[in-house]
Parts: sequence; C-alpha cells; structure tokens
Amino acid sequence: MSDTGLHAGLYEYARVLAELVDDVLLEVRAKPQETMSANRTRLGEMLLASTSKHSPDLSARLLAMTLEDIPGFKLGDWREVGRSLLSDTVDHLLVARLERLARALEQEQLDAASRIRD
Amino acid sequence: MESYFHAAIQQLRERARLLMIKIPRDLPREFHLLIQTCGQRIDDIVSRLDYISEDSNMLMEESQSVRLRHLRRIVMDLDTLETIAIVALNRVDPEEDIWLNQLVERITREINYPLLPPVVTSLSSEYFHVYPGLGLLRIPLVEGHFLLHLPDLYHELAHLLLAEQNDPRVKPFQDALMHALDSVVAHFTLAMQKEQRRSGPVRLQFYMEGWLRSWGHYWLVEFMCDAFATCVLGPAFAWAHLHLVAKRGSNTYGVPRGAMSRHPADGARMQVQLHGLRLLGFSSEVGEIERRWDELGAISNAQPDPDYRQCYPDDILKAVAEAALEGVRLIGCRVASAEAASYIGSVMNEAWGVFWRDPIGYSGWEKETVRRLRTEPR
Repeated sequence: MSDTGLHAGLYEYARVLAELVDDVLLEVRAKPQETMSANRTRLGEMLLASTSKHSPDLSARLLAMTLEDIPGFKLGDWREVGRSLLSDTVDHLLVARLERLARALEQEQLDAASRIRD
Repeated sequence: MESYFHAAIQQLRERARLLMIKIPRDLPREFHLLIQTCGQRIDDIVSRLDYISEDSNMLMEESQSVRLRHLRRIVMDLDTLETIAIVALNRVDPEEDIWLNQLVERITREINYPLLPPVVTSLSSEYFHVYPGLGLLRIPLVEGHFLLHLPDLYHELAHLLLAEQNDPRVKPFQDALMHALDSVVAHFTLAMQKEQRRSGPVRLQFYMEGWLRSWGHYWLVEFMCDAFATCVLGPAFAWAHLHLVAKRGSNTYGVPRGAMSRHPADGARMQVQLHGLRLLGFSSEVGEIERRWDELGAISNAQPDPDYRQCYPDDILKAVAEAALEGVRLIGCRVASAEAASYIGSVMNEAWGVFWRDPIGYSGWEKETVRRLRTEPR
C-alpha cells in the first residue's frame, strides 16, 4: 500500500501522521544538528509523495487533501518542508510549518473519529 | 502549565488503573479477543503517560504544544476504551451477544473472510457501526431477532478489511480501492480542467473540488464496503439499503456544495450495489430492486439534484463496483451467485423473497427462522 513505509491505512492515517509530526517536532527542536532520523526520513518522504501528482500511497493522497485544506499554504510550501526534512536545513520556518501541520492533523483526527462510526 | 500536566497525568493514570480493574475476566470465549485488546491498550496508554511526564525532550518549554496534543490523544483513546469497549464487556447480554458473535463467526467462515471475526455487541445506539482499532462491531439491542437489516453486517466486515494495516491477505482489496480512487481522481481532474478551459461557472469548479475531497476522504470507503457486501451476499444487501432509506429517510440524491460531506447520497450507493449485482448476474433481481426503488423515490419525492450526475458519475460508480468485485475475488472471498449461496446468505436473501411475496406472513416466518437459526447446532 505504501512506498514510503508508512502503512497508516485509511482509518488511522491522521493519527499515525499526527504522532509522526509531533515526534519530528520534538527531534528538530531538541537536536536540530542531527540530520537524519528514521522519523524525519519517513515524514520527509511522505510530504514529497503527497505533493506529487500520482502517489500510489493512499495515506499520501489523503495527506495531500489535508495539506490543500490548510489556509495560507500551497503544496509547494509542503514540498519545501519535505525537502528540508531530508536535508540538514532546520530553521524557524520549518518548525512553524510543522506546528501548523500538527494542528491540522489534530482536527483531522477528530473528524476521523466520527467517520468510523458510519 | 507544568502543574496542570502533572495533575492531569496523575488523574489519567488513576483512570487507566480503574479501567483495567473494570475489564471482566470471566466472559465466554467470544469476548476474549476484546478483553485482550483492552488490556493491551491500557498498558500502551500507561507507557505513553510515562513518556509525556518523563521524557526530557517532552519537558522542554517549547515542546508543550506537542505534549498537549499527546495528552489529548491519550484522553481520546481512554474515552473510546471506557465508553465503547469496556462498557461492552461489562454489559454483555449472554442471550443476544453470544448468538450475534456466533452468527458473525459463521458468516465469516461461509464467505471465506480472511481476517478474524470482530467481537459483536448489541449495545449500539447508532445503528450498525464498527471500531476497526478495537475489532468491535456494535449493533442495536434487538436487531438479532430480525433478518432484514442483518445484511449490513457484511458492510461492516468490509471496513475491517480496509482498516487492516499490514496484512498481505487483504491488500488486493485495498489495492482495488486505490484503483477506484485513480478513476475518481482522473475523472474530477479532467472535469475541473474542462470547466476551467470553457470558463464555466466558478461555483461548479469549487463544488468539484469539494466532491473530490469527499470521494477521497469518505465516500469511496463507503461505496467499497457496500460493493463488498453486495458481492459476497447478493441482492439482500441492496434490499436492506432500500429498507433503511425507506424507514429512516435521507436526501437520496443530495449533492454537497462547498464543504466536504461524510455520507454519499443513498441513490449513488444504490447504483453501486446494482452495478455489483449486474456483474454477478442477478439481472432479474436488479430489475425488481430498481422498480421498488423508483416507487420509493416517487412517494418520497426524491428527485436528483441538478448537479447529481456530475457529482456521482455513473461510469465511476460502475468502476467502483468492478474494482470491488476484482478485489473480493483476489482476497479469496466467496462471491455470491444466483446458482449457489452460502447458508446464512441464502437465509438473508430468502427473507427478502418472503417479505415481498408474503408481507402478511413474513413476520411469523421470520420469527420461526430466527428461532431455528439461534437453536440449531453450528
């Protein structure tokens, strides 16, 4: 199902991603010099996959829809975040954008919690 | 906020401890899986509480928003355990719940369902619904005394197939959903491009974006689950859908404008089911269901919205049914056919036959059939 190794599935995707984004936020704040971690790589790849047109990963596609719904941002902004995560570029802009994504995913989880009751 | 976190985490630890004590250990084997899941979930929650109270990165001042989100996720999980799973274990109705669990177990064997059957409880206040993370299916209290809505059990089983995360046995069905999603994305991308080129009304482009999101986030899953149920059960599922729409009412051909919608139109759901039945060769049954559906539409004044066919293109609905059937076959589930049916499946289909042939005698027939099902050796 996933090329990025993130088998979030349909139902838990927002939850799994939200945890991943929070883990990465902790890492980039606590250890900004450490470039590659498994979490950063996963999230970076996930963001790049979600901003490409034909990702075969359903989670990536769902994430793309979440990203498109975040006001004030374009998909290109999220592609930049993905690239930064896969490089050694950690700055305030990256952290602020990850925070914004974490808040959007929190909202998504609330929606998903009611969805599974159908 | 450190003092808040300290006290709130302590409270949550106590809540987790009490919930662990509240998990009954002396229930019949049908509930053992849920008992085990609840225990594991609570252990996991306690570990996560340790994490947000002790991890040095989590205690940094700039990490407090992350910490709060973690706390909220823990609360959400504890709420679900308490109000859905552990309450179900504490209120097991031996007569109803054991029969329902045995029924679902039997269905899963008959259709060659590739996963373990979910645990079933008759505590639902919201019709049929499933909690994939808990492997728990809830249905209304006395639904097990009737047959006409039980086809919805098959729909709920499909949700579990789609929710499974790493099981190669169900991947072909999940891939089928991806293929259907490809068709949906391609269709709406092209439709939006066309609208842009011909400088069509901006409102339609705006609606289409919302429709695409609704398809991706919500509708396709529901359609796939409907199609699965149709493929493994046959006409009884479409009849049950008609019955639900007749009884509960709905905006049969409604189209969302702007915001995402969680529920696809019931008319579109019926179309997917009819396409599925045609693919399986139930052509005479399709004619009969269509006739009744149209009659219902006439007396309930259900008229397609002007944008209905653009929101739910028939070729996409058909593509969903085709993809689902392919997925069902690839995961090895038994497909319904006019010639051969599984035992429980044939009872559910027969129920609808009797319902239409003998509306007066149906109730007595149903009572006797359910009594027989509940008492016969399995």
